[in-house]
Amino acid sequence: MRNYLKLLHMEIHRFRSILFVLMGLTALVQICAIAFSTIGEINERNAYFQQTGKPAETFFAAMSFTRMVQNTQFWFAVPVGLSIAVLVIYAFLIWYRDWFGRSTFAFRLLALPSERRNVYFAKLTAILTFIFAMLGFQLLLMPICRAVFTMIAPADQIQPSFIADAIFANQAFKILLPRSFGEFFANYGLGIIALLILFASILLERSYRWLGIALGLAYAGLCAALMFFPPLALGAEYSVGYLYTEEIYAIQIAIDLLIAIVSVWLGLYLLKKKVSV
Amino acid sequence: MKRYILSMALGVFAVGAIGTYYASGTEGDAPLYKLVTLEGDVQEAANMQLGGHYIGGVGSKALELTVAGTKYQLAPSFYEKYLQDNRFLTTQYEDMKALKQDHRNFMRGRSSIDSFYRDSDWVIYADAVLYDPSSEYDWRSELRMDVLEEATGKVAKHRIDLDESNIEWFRVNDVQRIGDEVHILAQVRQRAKLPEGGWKSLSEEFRDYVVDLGSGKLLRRDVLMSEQLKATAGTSGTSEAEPAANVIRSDLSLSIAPIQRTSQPSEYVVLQMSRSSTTGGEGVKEKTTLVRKYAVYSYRTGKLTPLPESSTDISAYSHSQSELNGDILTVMYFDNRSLAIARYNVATETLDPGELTLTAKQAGGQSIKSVTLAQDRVYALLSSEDSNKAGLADSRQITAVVLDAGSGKTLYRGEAAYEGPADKAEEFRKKLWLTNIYANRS
Repeated sequence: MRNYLKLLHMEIHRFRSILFVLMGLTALVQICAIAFSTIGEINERNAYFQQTGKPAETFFAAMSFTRMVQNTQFWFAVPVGLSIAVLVIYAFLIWYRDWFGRSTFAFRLLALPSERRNVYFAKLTAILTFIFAMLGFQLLLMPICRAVFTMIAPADQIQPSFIADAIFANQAFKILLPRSFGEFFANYGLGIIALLILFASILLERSYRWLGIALGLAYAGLCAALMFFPPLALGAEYSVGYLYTEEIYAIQIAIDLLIAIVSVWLGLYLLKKKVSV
Repeated sequence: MKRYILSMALGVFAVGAIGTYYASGTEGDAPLYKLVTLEGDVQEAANMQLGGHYIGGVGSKALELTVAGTKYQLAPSFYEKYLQDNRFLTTQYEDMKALKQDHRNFMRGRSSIDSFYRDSDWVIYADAVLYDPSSEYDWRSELRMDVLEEATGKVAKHRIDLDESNIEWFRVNDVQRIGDEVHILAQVRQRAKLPEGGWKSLSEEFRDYVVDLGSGKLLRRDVLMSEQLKATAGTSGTSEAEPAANVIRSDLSLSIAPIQRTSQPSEYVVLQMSRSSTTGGEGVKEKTTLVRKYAVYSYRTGKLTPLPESSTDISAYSHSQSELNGDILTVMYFDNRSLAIARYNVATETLDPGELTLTAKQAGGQSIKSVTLAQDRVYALLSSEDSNKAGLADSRQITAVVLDAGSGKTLYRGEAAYEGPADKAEEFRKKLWLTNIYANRS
């Protein structure tokens, strides 16, 4: 356990700068987006008042943080998309930097006097920690953005907003932070399985090189087909079908769990028996 | 230990932030409302559901209001989304839920609520399929009847080739057993091949296919009602209605009066036929009911008897809804100003002389926003705003009433109230828009 924690800490430490840059960039872009959008609307309201002499409320809806998030969806989505892209790329780099980085770090990792599975699980946990830390940071950022909005907007024109509604006003967050924890669990469960498949494919490549690329792609393709084909083929989306929807989902959950177990087993097997430096 | 503080902090932060977000509730601005009783017995409103939206902040949130409180469907649980049955047939009807619980395999792949029959001895599912053996759109029809014996659990599957051609579509409306005979009431549209190619819709019919329960042999087929269709301007299914100067569409509708549970045994079925025409020009269209007829068919005697017509005053209403409850057929005619109810005894084939007419004002409002008939009760959403006023009324103007379909007596009257601080009650009632009323057919 101690070896695993040491390796995990090492992985987190190696990525910390990029993680903090991503967090900083996200905060900067989103806070600026809210601030500029709020100032823009205040200017529009003032212009309306100056041109017509009528109070802005007669033409504009009350200012709410939720609507401001809705209006700035693109700028909220840009740092989120960038973070996702960086994390996806790092899911590859977390392995390949050990082989192709400065010095043959992989040699030292694999030669450690502890179980090799610790390396595998440390890398997996590190990636998950980055993902959930970014999500947590986004959740922390929302009240900060709301506070910025409240500071700028005239108090008498503000309609109170709930953070959950503001989150849901952004299309990207509907998938990343769904209202239901059940959906969150399902979305990220599938994401974790995808990460396990990716790790197995990378280790196939590291074990068999050129042949490994083909094997890795084939394995990923097979898993993707198994993850997406059964619900469609068994008619989960139809109003009528031989199997009940709960049976189709039970089959799917069983398949997904099997894929997860096989992927972990394959990854550990390859790391222990096949991977070479 | 100090050296691990970053890793620990990140982990704790991630779990804490996400956990707090979901634990604190993600429904956002979703205030709770309740139905408060203004008059009558709250038990009468137990099956009543009011549908509407909370309109606050950005967008709106659909909600359902019952005497039990408010239900938003914003964040379904993992169980609701993935682990429970989500199919309409086996989740929305109590008799279908019971059938699934008792005969899970028999219920697989079933699609039509009207195709079931159940008594203490038998469960029957009968459906019709059209197939095209020649691949020339010359449909052939086949009845498929699955019979489950409750005592043994054995299922007999019967496939009956009807040897009929020129069928455009075919739908089973009711299944009943009288002794050893199974009556499959079907709605069939006939068509004819045109000499220049293509097809023309000819007529719509109600047919009773009588099948032997044991052998699955077709014993006879009777045409109960046949109405001619006129194909005009590419709209198959339009009727031979009275032509009017500016008629842009004529429609024929054949249906049966629903019973409380479609699978329950009933000796009678009530057939409904209506013809309507839509008139008008650009922008303004008006639908007028030209003819509306009811006939009761006895599966036991094979006798089809037209029911006496209700008075012209009430049958001229633009909308109607009917329900067969035992031997009593209730027909409710309505528009947004008033409703009228005619009741028939289908066993004696008589019309109850006391036709009931009730205006929205008499019921306690100015206009009727939504109304439905279920289990001898009329459920209505009344507005204190006049029906001519454009736009939706918020909940301050809305009351829900339950009336006895026979006497018109008010059994329940209630309105939505905000479940929060009293000083905010008016503000939140203003943001609640109730638009529909439903009744559970349990």
